[in-house]
Amino acid sequence: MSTAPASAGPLLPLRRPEYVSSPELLISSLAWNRRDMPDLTSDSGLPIGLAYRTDKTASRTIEFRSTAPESATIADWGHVLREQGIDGGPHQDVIGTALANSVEGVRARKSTTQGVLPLGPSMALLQNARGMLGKRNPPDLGEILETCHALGGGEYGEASAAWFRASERRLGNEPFLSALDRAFATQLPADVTVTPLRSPDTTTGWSLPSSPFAWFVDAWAKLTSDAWVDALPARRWNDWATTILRNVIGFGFLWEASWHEQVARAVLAASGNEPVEGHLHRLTSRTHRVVPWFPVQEAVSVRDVAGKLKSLIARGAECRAVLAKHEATGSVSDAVQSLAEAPDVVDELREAFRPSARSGSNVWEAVKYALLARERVGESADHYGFFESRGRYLLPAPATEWIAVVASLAASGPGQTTTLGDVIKDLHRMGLDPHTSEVLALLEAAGLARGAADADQSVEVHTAY
Amino acid sequence: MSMAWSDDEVRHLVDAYLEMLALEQAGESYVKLRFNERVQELTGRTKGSVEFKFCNASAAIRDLGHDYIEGYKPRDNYQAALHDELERRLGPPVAIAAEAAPAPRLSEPPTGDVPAESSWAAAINRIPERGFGGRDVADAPGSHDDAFWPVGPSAPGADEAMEWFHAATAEGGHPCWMFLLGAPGNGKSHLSARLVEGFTEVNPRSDGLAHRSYRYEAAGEKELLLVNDATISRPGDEGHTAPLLQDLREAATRGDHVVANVNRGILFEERAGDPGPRDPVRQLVDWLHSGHGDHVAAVRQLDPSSDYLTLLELDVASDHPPVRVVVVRMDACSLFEPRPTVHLSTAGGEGPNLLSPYEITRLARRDETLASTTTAGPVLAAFVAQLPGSPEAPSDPIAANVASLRAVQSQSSMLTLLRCAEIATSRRFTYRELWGAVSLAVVGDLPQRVAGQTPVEWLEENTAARSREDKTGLQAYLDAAQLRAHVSLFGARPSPLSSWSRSVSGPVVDALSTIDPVRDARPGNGGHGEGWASPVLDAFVSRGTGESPLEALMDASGAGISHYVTSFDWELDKVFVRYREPQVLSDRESRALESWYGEYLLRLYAFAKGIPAFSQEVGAWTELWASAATGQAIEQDLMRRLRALLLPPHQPGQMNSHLVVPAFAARTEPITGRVERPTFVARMLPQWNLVPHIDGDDLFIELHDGADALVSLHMDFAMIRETFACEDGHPGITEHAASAAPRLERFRSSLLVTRPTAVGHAVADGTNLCDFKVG
Repeated sequence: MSTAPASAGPLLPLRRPEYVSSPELLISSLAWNRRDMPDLTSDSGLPIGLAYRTDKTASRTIEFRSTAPESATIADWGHVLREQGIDGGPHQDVIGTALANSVEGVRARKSTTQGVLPLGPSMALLQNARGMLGKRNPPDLGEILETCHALGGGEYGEASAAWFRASERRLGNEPFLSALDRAFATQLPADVTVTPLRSPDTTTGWSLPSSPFAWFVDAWAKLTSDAWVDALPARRWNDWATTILRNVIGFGFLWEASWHEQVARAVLAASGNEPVEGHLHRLTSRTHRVVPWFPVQEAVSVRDVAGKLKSLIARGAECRAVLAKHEATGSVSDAVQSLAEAPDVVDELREAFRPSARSGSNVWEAVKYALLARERVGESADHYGFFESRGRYLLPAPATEWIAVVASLAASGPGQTTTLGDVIKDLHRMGLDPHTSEVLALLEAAGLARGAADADQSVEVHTAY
Repeated sequence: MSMAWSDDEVRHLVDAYLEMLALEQAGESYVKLRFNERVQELTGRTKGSVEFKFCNASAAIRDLGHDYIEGYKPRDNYQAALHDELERRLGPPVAIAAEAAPAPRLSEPPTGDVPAESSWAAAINRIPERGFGGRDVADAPGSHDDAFWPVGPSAPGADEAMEWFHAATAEGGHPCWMFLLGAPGNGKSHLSARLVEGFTEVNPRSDGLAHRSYRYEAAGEKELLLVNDATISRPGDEGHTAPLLQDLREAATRGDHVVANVNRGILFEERAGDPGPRDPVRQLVDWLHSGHGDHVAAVRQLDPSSDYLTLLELDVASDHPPVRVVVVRMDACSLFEPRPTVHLSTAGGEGPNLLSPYEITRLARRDETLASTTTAGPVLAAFVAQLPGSPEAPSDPIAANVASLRAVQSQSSMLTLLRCAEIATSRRFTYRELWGAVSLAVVGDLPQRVAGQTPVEWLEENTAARSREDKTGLQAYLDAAQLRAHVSLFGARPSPLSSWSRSVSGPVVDALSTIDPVRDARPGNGGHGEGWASPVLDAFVSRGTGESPLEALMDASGAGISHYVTSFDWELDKVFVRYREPQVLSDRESRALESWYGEYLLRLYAFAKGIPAFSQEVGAWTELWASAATGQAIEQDLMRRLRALLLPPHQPGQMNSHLVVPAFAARTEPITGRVERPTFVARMLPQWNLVPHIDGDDLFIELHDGADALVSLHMDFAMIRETFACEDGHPGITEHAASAAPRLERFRSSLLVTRPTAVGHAVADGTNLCDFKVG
């Protein structure tokens, strides 16, 4: 059963996201979140943006700082590594260069900025949203992710805390990575140190169990558990974590748009003295199946979701704006009734169903690129995307490791088995409604399940590790 | 086009739909497939057709203003009868649950012993009954075998288990339970109907309905409980979440014998829905579900046992004699492999028993003996043999198919191709699918292409059309050719000049299309590492316009296809030659005809000789399986390819060069040779061994460090294809790369955590590896 704080009203308290070209920034944003950090400002008074590598030095509003070891001072970096116990003898410069190269994150095409793999607490702080997005006031992605966590019934702050604990566990397991993270701490601006995180707050009162937010809470708790940290290699763990965060941004904001649209429909129904129970029922106890997912045998034009989802985001944005403007409070049901009695609200909500082309475009970009596989094959292949872009079409076509992550985290732990039915339940929570045979085919292609003709949803699904 | 659903069919569909809806609204779990199967049985419609109709029902119910089942997305354009039936049944939403009480099911009426059809026309017209969507696909107790459809051997061990059960229950001592476990279509209901023929039913019902269970008198004042269809609720106990466990617990208490037809989905639901203690009966169901005896103290496995048949003893209570249990896994063995030899002592279940192992025949060793040694072979042979002779020479495609299939070489080729399709798709055909394949091989996909006409009626029209001299005659020939076994089984696309424009799909065709010979018709004569298609390709090249490609193919030495070629094929060849002449067709039409006929002969040649696409890969898979089964070393060339795929060395060809992967890269692709810039890598230190491992039909490659299995990779067909793309120590690429590459990377990356002490850190610089210390 969904719950909302008694006085919250129907508006979900999520701030607006933006397109993030470097998925590693999502983890870094969690790492920066919930800490007492110095306000990074340059001598000229400009805020400092951190990026692992960047060609920029400053703009009118930001001063950029590159945190990667520079080739000109590679000998110094080699010395730092040696101090931390990483000793390559006569090859120390090559070792230093290789290690600096090997922690580079994804680089978007045409981008002049390069992220870093946040494999440890210090490495995660080598970049921030200001530096990676090139904006003086970028969206606070860490705050958005924590809000998502809270909407799913988790504690506010626990997402960051769990990541930090998992990182500490990793460094405890892997002396080499621990030494490397200590070495990278020397690359941080002088005022920045890895300080403790604030304790998580109590729950906010929200609990949306049939939502991507609730899936996030469960999947994140599992992935950050000792068992999964121990089972996955460092880079693989990082990629799985990023996949969860991409999913919650993508599916979470689609679900949010659907939620606000349903609230608006309930208000309009109530204003016409129609029963609102059906709408409220959908809001509170039914899973929103947000993303149409047709079998791969269907025509591409049938499978395309670009127009549908963009329209959903636009309607959701307009509805949200109206609901925010009128600030209804109380329980969802009370708020709907109260809004229905205000003629101007009703008129504005009717208009909201005819959104402009630009409505919610930033959110749509954030959603689309969070879920889109960058490339399918080749050196830069993204095996963790959900959407595939084919010309003007956008198709649900999960990459192999996307389903591996989702299915593995449906199980109780690494090396365990779960069932096809449980994997589908998690997909439903994410707002997806695929055919069973479609999911089974994906799991078989990923080498995680072998279908038995008589097993139906009890087909055993093995974890990827 | 399929015919519209009758009112009765719609009523059965709505019964099932509303029952599911009621369960969903009550928050109960249920299995959609069970309801689909029920409607299939009641209507004879295909699974896909029922599924689609459920979606129609969602649209109709939505339009009536009610909630629909979330798992069935509304599909509009439904027939009016569906709307009318739903409207009649649905009052206000609260009435849905009351309306949706489980509907009783009509069993097939007993057919009695019907002699085999004596006329050619009558026989041919009956064949589509066993195609998909046809009737006569399930048995209920009391039904009788229809002599038109020969009864083949049951799944390995099933007949012997039945004899054992008969003998054991005749003694009247220990209770005996028999479980027939497997998917629908494997002959469970047929077998259990035969099993109870000698028993007297207790309180027999004459309502003509199929029931969940039946009771029979047995020796020693015992009763025999037959759970024939565990998907039906227990009478008066519809809400019970574990009805099979309830049946078994009651039988255990009473000391009854039990025969139960169950599938894995049912066992899963029973375990999930059982609130009771983990008593011996529950432990038995756990064992049946998992197939192993971990933590099941009450279940004792008796020797010998096998994948397909197991004897157990179950201690139900200290003051009860143990229950003797025989479990037959109906789908453990392929129908297209030699049947294992089984002997079960009938002396009360005591030894000696003999179960020979299930074995997969190497592709290179498959021969005509399989027509008699496999489970499916005798069925195919008997069915084709009993068909009356065609009144004409085989100049129509159906008569041609029968004539071709009467040759034992054709039968063994068809069995081989079906087996290859199983291997390529990691699926197992059921008896029901075997009959679907037989139907396709005889009457082609005609039942799916034409409605309201029997095959013979269609043939009469087609034969008349073929005699025309204009292009409609050609078109009629091309339509007819589409029905030839070697065309229809692979789901080949019709010629653009045919009146048919689409391929027909279905479970059998979908599987066989993966090994459609046209997919890799490479030149060669079937030698090691080469293709097989030269005889066909040469037949087109060596003969010019006006000459017969079929004649050239037959002349080619070693063609060995005469057993399959019929007068229909010769007529078609003549027609092709005539229309191939210049000026008869447009250039575009001429090219289309040439291309289509080329494929026709490729498939004909391959079908006649039992050659699948990717025969080298399928053959290697069977070799690897056999190596694992017998403990033999993997053949050297295959081992080289496997190593190139899984563990390519940093410096191919150099001694002591091991796998090197980038340690922090998104992709764990092996580094071979030079790197562009210094890269942090993990190097695998020891020389690990690759060892094949089998589990039924599933084949795995395990990486062993001594006796320890470090990591395992499922060697399905995609992986075998990738393996054979490796040449000279370097990986290649196939169309499976998008799914195979991540699995391979997962395999390699597992090593980073599975054996951290066996993985060294280093830096790759150019072609060198620089080690470093961490202290």
